Amino acid sequence: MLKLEKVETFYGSIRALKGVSFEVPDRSIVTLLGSNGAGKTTTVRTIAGLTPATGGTITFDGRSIERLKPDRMVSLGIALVPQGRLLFSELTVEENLELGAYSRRDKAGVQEDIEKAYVQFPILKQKRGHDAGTLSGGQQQMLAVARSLMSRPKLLILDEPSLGLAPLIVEEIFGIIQRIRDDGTAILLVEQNANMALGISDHGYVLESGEVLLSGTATELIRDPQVQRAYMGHGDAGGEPALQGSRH
Amino acid sequence: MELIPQLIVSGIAAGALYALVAIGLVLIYKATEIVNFAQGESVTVGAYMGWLFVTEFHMPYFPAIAAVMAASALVGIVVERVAYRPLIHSPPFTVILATLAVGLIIKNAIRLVWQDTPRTINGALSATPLEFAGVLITPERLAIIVTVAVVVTALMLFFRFTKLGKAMRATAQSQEAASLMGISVSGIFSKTWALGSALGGIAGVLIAPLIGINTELGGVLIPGFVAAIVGGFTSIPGAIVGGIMVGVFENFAGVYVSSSFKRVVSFVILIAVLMIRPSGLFGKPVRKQV
Amino acid sequence: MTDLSVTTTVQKKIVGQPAIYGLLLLVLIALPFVASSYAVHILSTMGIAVILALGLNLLMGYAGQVSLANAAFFGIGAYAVAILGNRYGVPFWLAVPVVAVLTAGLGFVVGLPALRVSSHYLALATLAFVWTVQVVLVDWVSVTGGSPGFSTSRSGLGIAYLQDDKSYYFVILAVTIAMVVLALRIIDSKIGRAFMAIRDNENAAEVMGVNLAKYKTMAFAVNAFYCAIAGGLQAGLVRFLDPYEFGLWPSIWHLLYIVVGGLGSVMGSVLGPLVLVALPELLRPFAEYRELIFAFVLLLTLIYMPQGMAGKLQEFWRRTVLRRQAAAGQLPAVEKSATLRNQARSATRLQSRHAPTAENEMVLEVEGLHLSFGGLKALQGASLSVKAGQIRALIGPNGAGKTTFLNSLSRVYVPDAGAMRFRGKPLLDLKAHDLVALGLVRTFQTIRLFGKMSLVENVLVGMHAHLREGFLGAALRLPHNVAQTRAAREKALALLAYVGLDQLADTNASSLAFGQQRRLELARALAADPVLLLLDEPASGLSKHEIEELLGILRTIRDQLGVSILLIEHNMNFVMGLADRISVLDHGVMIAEGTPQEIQGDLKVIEAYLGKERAVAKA
Repeated sequence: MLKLEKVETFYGSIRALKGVSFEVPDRSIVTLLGSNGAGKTTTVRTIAGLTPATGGTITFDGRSIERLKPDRMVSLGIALVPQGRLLFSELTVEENLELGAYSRRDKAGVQEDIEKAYVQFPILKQKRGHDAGTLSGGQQQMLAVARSLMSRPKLLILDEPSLGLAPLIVEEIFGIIQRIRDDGTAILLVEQNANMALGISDHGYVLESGEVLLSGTATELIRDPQVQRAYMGHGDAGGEPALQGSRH
Repeated sequence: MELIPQLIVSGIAAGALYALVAIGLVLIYKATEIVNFAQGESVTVGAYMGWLFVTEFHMPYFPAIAAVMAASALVGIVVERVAYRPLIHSPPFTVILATLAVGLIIKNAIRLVWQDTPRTINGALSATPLEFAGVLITPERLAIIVTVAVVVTALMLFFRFTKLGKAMRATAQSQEAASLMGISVSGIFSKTWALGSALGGIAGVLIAPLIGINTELGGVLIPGFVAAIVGGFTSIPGAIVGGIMVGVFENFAGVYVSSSFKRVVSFVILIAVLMIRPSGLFGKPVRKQV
Repeated sequence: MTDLSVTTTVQKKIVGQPAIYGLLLLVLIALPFVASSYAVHILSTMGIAVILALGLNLLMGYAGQVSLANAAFFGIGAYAVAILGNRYGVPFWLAVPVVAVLTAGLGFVVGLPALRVSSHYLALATLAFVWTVQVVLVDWVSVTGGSPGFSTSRSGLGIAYLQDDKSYYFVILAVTIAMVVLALRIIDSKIGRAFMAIRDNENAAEVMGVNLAKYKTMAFAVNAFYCAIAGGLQAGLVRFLDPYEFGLWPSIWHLLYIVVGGLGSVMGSVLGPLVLVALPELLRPFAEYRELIFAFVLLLTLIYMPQGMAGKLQEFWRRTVLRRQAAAGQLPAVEKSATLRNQARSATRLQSRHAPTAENEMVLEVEGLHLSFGGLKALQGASLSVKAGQIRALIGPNGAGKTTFLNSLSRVYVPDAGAMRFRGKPLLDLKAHDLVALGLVRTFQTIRLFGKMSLVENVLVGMHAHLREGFLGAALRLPHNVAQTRAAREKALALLAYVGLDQLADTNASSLAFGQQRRLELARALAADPVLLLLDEPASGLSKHEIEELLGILRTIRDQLGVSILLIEHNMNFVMGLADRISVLDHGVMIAEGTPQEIQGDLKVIEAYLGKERAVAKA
């Protein structure tokens, strides 16, 4: 469904992505891992058109999208839940949902989907008239996801949905993500928390310094010690890299 | 003294107009972070268009107002295309100067076409003052207050209940999130400039019967500014309160101090607000961020 | 404020030719003898306009502060001198400087809002001021003569011997030249650099020790001074003062002088007025269209020539002269990376002013830092310490609170609870710009260089807290100032050599590649004579090779200069290879502390980054 080939992006004058390639097949959950600064968010922003790609290609459903502006993405079927959620905090929960469906013309369908969202996320129904900014972190994340679903996307991209949330809520959200995949939407998940993400994914890619370092199925990656090293450093401290965890 | 309620009422009428100008400024600022120095010129355009449609073309009052809105909206789009879009990557100072330049061009263009011969909009309304509870008010002033109230209400409804209105509010809060929803941010900008200028145009039509039509009407920008400042440049109710404040204080100053002090009142209020609460009476205190 | 300012170094190169000056001076002196008295009057007007433009450029082009008050100061200067002279017999030569100084004081007061409000509001405050001044000039009829104007004459001012237009022209010429020289001296001093630093990056300037309040108000005072001098001269030039020439719209016309001439450029301050005073004279037959034409000129300049005429000349110079130099092989060679020999030599010149640190001194101690933003608890009891001569890294997953921690240390945020001590001194007692003087210097994650200033000038701003140069010293070029500046420049070059950038010393900071910019930031931070360096993601965006170099430079800084370092970083390889000890922050609390090896193997840390299941799956 989504395919990146040797994508390069500059962030200001820094070469943030140096040739990133990966795929997100239909009805799958693919996760992008890597420590901060590895290029995960830049990748996602490049796909969504918020940052222009300077090289490589991005294809969605066979169609080349690397030159498109972000407001075109929604009508193509790509929705992004950005890092930090970016809700319209002074608009109500319901207004946020309505805006998620901005690009749609079928009023009746939109109303239906709002009701569906309230079924899937009952807490949102409770707070439908409240300003989005008054919701708790977990509720905001759910609203952000629900809002993005309003455009009936074929591909949903989530950028660090677990950021700042308590582990229990993160589990709830991840459960929701799986349900969305089951309903037929492909998911690209960007996460720093490797284990939780791999726990629900089909495939994973580990980024480091703007390049894909490792890739494989989720089960392969969970067992791969290289993933830990990618996060914790390659042990240049001049000693044996600590492969065994030790309680301190 | 019966004078005080009198002054208050006529102050509210003047203030309502300042409020319109201010709301236009606030809308444009909230969306684009630019202070539209050409806003005064949309008032002038509104006045001249009003004269054109009512006195020359003999259109009835309310369709004329709609036509004036359309004409001023067009002015707003011109300013946006000429002063804002080419300079979209320039610092705000440059853009503000550019809006100033375009405003001057518009003002001079009007002056060259119509010269400074005094004109007025021939009253659709009679001149005899009406009386409410011992306070005299001319139909013109009453019309101003009523029209502004209707316009502001319509505006609030627009923002609350229409798709475009919500999209505008959303864009003002987060351009990035708005574009992720499929909203064309540049389209919203154009429409916001059009709307802000249309409001200025209405103010022009309304002000014309009071003080006549000339190319210096743009000076109403100043009290409009001050009204917007009082509202912290972010709040429409704040702009309304600000406008009324300026209008009423001006009237009182005109009677109790001197007529020339009237002009200075705006600035006294401005200085006071800047000294006491720079974020305006209604604005949110600005937190310094790294 | 604006990004349009012409670079100072290039400007110096263009105007640095003495031959051009000599020629220009000759022409200006000869002109009145061959030109008509009308032309002499125009030239006199131009001179006054140049002084106005200089004052305006110093405030807006160099210090980046928006102000519409210039015509008000111009008017105050003009009317004060005219009234004092014509009505009270105060001699011209006394009135002008006294009025100028007093107006400078007024300028200082008008500039006070600059400290609290953003540029939009500042523009409005100055707008309020200028409008009010005009109203006063028009309405205070008993003093100012009101609308019809105030009549003045040179004999009324006590300078009847200058009645001849030519003689007065020479006075104006002399004063204009003096004001140009003064402007050049201010720009080339600590004050000028502080101005430009504030313009280019206010936050970075403050962190380098620039007292924003002091320099912003100083810029306003200087602006008022210049405008008042111009006003005083105006009182002697014209036959009567028209209050409508000292209001809001004239203020905006004056802005045109520097927008068209070139912001941040002395040359532009001369070119702009020349063109814009001549233009209305040429347009006399089209008086009706004057405002329209000016508006078009302004608009077209803003869109197509944002750098003004001076900027266009600079472009031209860069394209032709520089290209010729490059072809002839005269350009500086690409800089070589710093060799250890170079560094050792340079290091000996870099003596610190601070008391040397003791063996086990705790340079930094932070205990139990708490900070919440509304409902978000960013820091919930964070503690760490840095020993003298140590490199400590602060790491943690995204959102852990690392940058918030650093910002609390550098006094950007005020913590809700907790203690922070630098060499025993509580940090809460200090303001952001005081930290540098004590030896606490930080860099930022995003590059915060002063883009329009040269590398040397950037480094010199780093030394701001340690240089002593006041306005008079700069203006008069006292021997103490000259010697200090020379020594400072030497040190700046030594620091640039230390990071391997000395060959590019006079180029603009914005022209550097990213890795070079990072090194410049380091040089600038070192110039501030740090005891403790706070580095915010110094390796982000660097290539593998540049990271290696950075590792080396930082190690040398610790070993040779005895500087302690606290850094935030995400690049684990870099951190593990560099740090002596590491503190790990997660959800606002420290969860681990130790050597790189210890941290790499610490389960809590691994969990924080990778999540829980990992540890279990491994077993």
